[in-house]
Amino acid sequence: MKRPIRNERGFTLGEVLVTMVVLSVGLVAVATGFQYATSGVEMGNGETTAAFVAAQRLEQLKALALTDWASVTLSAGTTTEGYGAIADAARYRRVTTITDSPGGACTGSCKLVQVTVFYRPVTGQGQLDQERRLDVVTTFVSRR
Amino acid sequence: MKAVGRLVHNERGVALVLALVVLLTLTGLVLAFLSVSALEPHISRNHSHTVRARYVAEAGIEYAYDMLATNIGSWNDYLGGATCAQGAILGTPNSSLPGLGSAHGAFTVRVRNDCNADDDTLTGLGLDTTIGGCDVAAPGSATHDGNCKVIVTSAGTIGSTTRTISVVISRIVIPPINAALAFPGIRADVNFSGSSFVVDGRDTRMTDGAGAPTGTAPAVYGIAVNGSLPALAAQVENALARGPQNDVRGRDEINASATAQGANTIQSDVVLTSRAVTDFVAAARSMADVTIDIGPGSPYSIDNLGSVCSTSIESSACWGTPSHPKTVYVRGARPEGTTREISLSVTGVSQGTGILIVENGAVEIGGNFRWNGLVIVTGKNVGVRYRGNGTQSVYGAIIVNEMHEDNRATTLEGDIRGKADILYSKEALDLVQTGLKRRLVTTHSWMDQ
Repeated sequence: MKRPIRNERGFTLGEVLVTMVVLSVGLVAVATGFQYATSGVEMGNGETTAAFVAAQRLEQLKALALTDWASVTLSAGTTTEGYGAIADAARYRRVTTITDSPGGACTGSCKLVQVTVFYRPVTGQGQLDQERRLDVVTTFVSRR
Repeated sequence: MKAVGRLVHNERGVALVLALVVLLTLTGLVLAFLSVSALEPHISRNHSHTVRARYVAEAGIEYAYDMLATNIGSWNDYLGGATCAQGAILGTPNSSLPGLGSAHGAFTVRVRNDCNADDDTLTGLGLDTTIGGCDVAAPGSATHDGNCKVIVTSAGTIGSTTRTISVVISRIVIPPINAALAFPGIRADVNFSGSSFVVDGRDTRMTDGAGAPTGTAPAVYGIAVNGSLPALAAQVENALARGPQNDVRGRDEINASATAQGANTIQSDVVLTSRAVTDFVAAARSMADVTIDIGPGSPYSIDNLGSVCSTSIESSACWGTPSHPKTVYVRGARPEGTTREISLSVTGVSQGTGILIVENGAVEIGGNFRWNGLVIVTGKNVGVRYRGNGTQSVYGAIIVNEMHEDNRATTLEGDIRGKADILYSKEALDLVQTGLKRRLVTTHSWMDQ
C-alpha cells in the first residue's frame, strides 16, 4: 500500500510523444478504413432501395394492366419522377418507359415496360457520389 | 528474485505498449467492419439481380399466357415432347426481351401437363391422368391436357442469377353446342304456343332473318335433350306435335349431313352433358363482367337493356356489343321445393352480346330482345320463357340445364310463345369466343423460386 504513494514518477515526455505519434498514425488509418466501410454500406443501401423502388412501380403498373388495360397510365411514352417526388424515397428518381408492341414475341396486346431508378449514394466523406442507375424490365400482356 | 522484482517495478515504456494494444484493438474492429461492409455491395447486387431476373421470368410467363390464350385450342401441340416432370420448351430458349440485348436478361419457358407427383397441390385438382372435365375423348397424360390446366415454368436470367416462376394456366372451355335449344339436364318440360316462333339449328349469320340461314357451318339439332334420357326427346316431340312443329329445323337425327324439320331434328344427344355445363358455369362466373346476385322472390328486372352501351361500354347495364362481348352472370336464389321463381326479367327494347348465365330460377324475355351468343340457364327449377309480346331473338344457342326434379306444371324448362326466334349461329358463337378468349384463360398458383 505504501509503494504507489512513494513512487511519484509519471511518463516521460519522450514516452508520451512517441505514443502520440504511433496513436495518430494508427487512428488516421482506422478513420480511412472507416470511410471505406461506410461508403460500402451506403452503396448497398442505395442499390437495395433502388430495387424496391423499381419493383414498386412495376407492381403498380402490373395491377393496373390486369384491371384496366386501356388506362392512360399505361400509354406508350416516358414518365419521369424527379428527386423528392417519390414518397419515402426522396433520394431517388425514377424513369418509366412503356413501349407498345415492341416486336419479337411481344406484339398486339403486349407492352414492354422499363423502369430505371437513379440514385446518388453518400460517400464516406459525406459527399454525394456519382449518380448510379438500376434498370428493371418486363412485359405485360392484356387479359382482355 | 531481486532481478525479477526490479523488472516488475520498472514501468518505463508502458505507455507505448498500452497505446499499441489500444491501436491493435481498434484496427481489429475496423477490419471487421471493413470485411462486413465489403459484403454489403455484393448482397445488394445479388438482390438487385434477383429482382431483375424475377421480372424477366415474369416476362416469360406473360409470353406463355399470350401464346396459350391466343391458341386456346392448341395446348396439346405445345405439350409435344414434354414429360410429366419436365415441360417442353415454349418458343425459343434464352429469349431476350423484345428490342433489348441479353444484358437485360433472357428467359426460357417450359410448359407441361399437371401429371407429376404433387402437382395437385398447385392446381387444387387431382393429377391429370384420367379423363378430365374438358376433354372427354382421352385421359390426361404428359402430352395430353385432359383437365384444361397446364403448368408453365419460366426461368429468368441476369448474368449468373436465375429466378424461376411456376404458374398454373387454366382455360375455360365453352360447352360443345349441339342444338339451337338444348336441355342436357334431367328435365325437358316444354310448351310451344303461337305460330310464329322459329327454332333453327342451321347456321344462321347474324345478319340473316329467322328461317333464312346463309351460314356454311354444319347444322346442329333444332332441339337436343340429355343423351342418357331419350324419353325426354319423345316428351318434347309430343309437346311440339300440339303446335307448329315444322318451325323447328336443324340437323337430321339420322343423316348428319342433311337437315330436317319437326321431330326429326329433336334428338337425345351425348355431345353436351349437364356436367360440361356446370363445369363451365363454375369456372366462368368468376370472370364475369357483370355479376348480379338476387334474393328469393325478387327477380332482377331490366328494361331497355343495352341502351347505355353507346355511351358507356363498361356500364353494368351494358351486356356486351359485337365489338365488346361480355359475360353476364345472374345468381338467383335456389327456389324452395317446386316453386317457380323468376330470376331475370327483360323487357323493352333490349340487346346484348356474349354469354348470359342465369343460375337457379327462370328467365323471362319480353319486348323486343336480341342476344348474340350463348344463353345458359342452369341449376334448380330453371327455364326460359318467351313471353311473346314483341320479337325476341337469340343468335347463337340456348342451354337450359335443369338439375332437380321439379313440378312440370309450374316449372317448364322451355315456354316458347309468340314471335320467338332461337337460331343457331356459329358466327355469333365464334364472335363471342374470340372476344372473350383471353378472359377464358387465367394464371394462378404462382410459385417463386
